[in-house]
Amino acid sequence: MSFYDAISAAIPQALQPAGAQRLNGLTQLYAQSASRQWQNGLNTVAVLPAYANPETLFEAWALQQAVWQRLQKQGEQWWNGLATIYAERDELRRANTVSKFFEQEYNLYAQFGELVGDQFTSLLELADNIQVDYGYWIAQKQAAAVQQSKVPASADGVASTRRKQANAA
Amino acid sequence: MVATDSKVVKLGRYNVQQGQSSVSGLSSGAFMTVQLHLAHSASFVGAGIIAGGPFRCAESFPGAAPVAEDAYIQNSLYICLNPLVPHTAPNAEHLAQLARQTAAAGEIDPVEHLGDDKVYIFTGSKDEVVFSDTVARTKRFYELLGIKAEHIDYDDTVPAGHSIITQNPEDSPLGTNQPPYINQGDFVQSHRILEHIHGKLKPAVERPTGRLVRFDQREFLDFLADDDKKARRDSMSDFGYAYIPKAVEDGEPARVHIALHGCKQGYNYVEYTNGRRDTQSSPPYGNRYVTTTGYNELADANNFIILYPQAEGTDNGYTQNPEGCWDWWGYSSANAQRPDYYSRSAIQIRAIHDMLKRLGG
Repeated sequence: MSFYDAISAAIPQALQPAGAQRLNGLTQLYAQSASRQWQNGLNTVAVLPAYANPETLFEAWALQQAVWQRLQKQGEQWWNGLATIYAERDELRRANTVSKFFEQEYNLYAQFGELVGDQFTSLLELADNIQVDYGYWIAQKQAAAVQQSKVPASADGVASTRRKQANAA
Repeated sequence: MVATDSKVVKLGRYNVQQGQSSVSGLSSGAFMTVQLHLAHSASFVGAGIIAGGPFRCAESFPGAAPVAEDAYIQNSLYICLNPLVPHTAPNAEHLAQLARQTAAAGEIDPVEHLGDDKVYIFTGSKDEVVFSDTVARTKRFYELLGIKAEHIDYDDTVPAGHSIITQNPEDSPLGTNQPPYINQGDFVQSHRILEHIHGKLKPAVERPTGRLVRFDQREFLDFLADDDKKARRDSMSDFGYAYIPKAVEDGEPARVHIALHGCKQGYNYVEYTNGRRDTQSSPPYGNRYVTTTGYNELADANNFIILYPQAEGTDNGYTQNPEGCWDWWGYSSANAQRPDYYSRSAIQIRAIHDMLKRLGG
C-alpha cells in the first residue's frame, strides 16, 4: 500500500465526500509534482560534476530547446485559435430568431472557453512532461555514472532501411 | 470494401498452418502488437508496428511518481509517446534486458523464437502522437533481441501523421494527426506489412469473395473473475470481426494475421466531450479499420484469415481507458503496484491468443 493509500484508508468513508476526495487527489498530484521537482533538484546537484562533459551539456541544451519549441508551438495554436474565432464572428449573418442569435453568441464563447481550456491543459501537460523527462534523463546519467560504463549510451543512430536502400541505389 | 450481415457467429476453426501467424497494429495496437509478439513469439513469424514503442515501455522510469499507477501513465505519456528529446525516449537496452528477464521468469515465450522473425516498423515524420524518437527505439529493441538487420524494414521517410496509410480518397490528408487516423498516401500500408512478413504475395483482389464475420468476444473473456467483469477490466467490445476468404471456408490451408486498431478506432468508439460519453454526436468511424484498410483484399488473394479484435472505451472509476486503447500501461490489471498487461496471462493477450487458437493457429 502506498503512502497516499494508507492515509486515505485511515480516513473513514463518511468523512470522504466526493468533493473532498477530488481535492485530496489534486493535493496528491501537486505533492507528486513538488516532490519530483525537489528530487530533480537534488539529483542535479548530485550529477553536477558530469556537466563538465560536453555531451551532457549538449543534451541539457537540447532539452531546453525542445521546451522552447513546444512553448512556441503552443503560442502559435493560441493565435491561430483566436484568429479562427474572430473570422467566424465576422462571418456571422443576422439571426432570424432570438434563440438562433443566442446560439450564435454562445458558440463563440464556448469556442473561446475551449481554446483557453486547451491552452491551460497543454501548459500543465508540458510542465509534467518537463519534470518527468528531466528526472528520467538525470536518473539515466546517475545510473551511467554508478556503473562507470565504457559503453556509449544507446545510439540515436537508427537509420531507415529504406533511406539506406535509396542511398545505396 | 466488404459488407457483413447482421448475424453474430461463433468463431470457427479452419485449416490454419500453426506457427505461421503474424500480427500488426497502429498506435496502442502497435504497442499491443509488440506485447503479443513477445508473449507468444512461438506462434508468430513476424509483426508490423505502425507508430509503436518497445515492450514494457511504460516501466521505463518508475521514479516518475510515488504511486506506481501514476508513474506508469506518466511514463506512457511523456517518455513513450511524447519524449522531449531523443535522450528522454525509452531506453532500448534497458527494455530488451527487461524482456529477457520476463522470458526467463516464464511470463512470455523464450525470446529465441524471435530469431527468424520479420518485423516492419513505421513512423511518419509528421507524427505528433507517438514521436519518431520512440519508434526508433523499437527498432533498436528488436535488434537487441536478435532479429537480423535484413529482417527489419524500418521506414521513417514518409511525411505522414499518426495513421495507417491507405490509398482511399475519402481518408484524411497524409500529414494529419486526427481521428480516425486513417490517412491517404501513395501506398497501402497493410499490404506492405504482409508482404514484408510473409514474402512475395499475389496482388490484392478488387472484389473479395470471402465473408466478414462478426463474432462474440465475450466468450473469450469467461476466465475473468466476477469483480473484474464488473469493473470491465478487459475494456473489450462485445463483438470482434474476422475476414474469412472463400477458399479458406472451403478447406484450403490458411494463415492468420491479427490486425489491431489504435485508440478511438474500435467499431463502437464514442468520443468523451467534457467528460461525458457523447452519444448524440458520435463520429462515424465505425468499422472503417476493419473494412477499408486493405487487409481483406490482400487476404482474399492469399488465403489469410484476418482477425480484428476490438477494444472499447471504459472510464468507470476502476478502468480508465476512455479512448478505447489496447492496454500497454496496465489499466486492465487489478494490481496497480505490479500490473500485468504484457504477459501471456494479461487479460487482453490471453483473450486474443485464445481467438487465434480457436481459428487453428
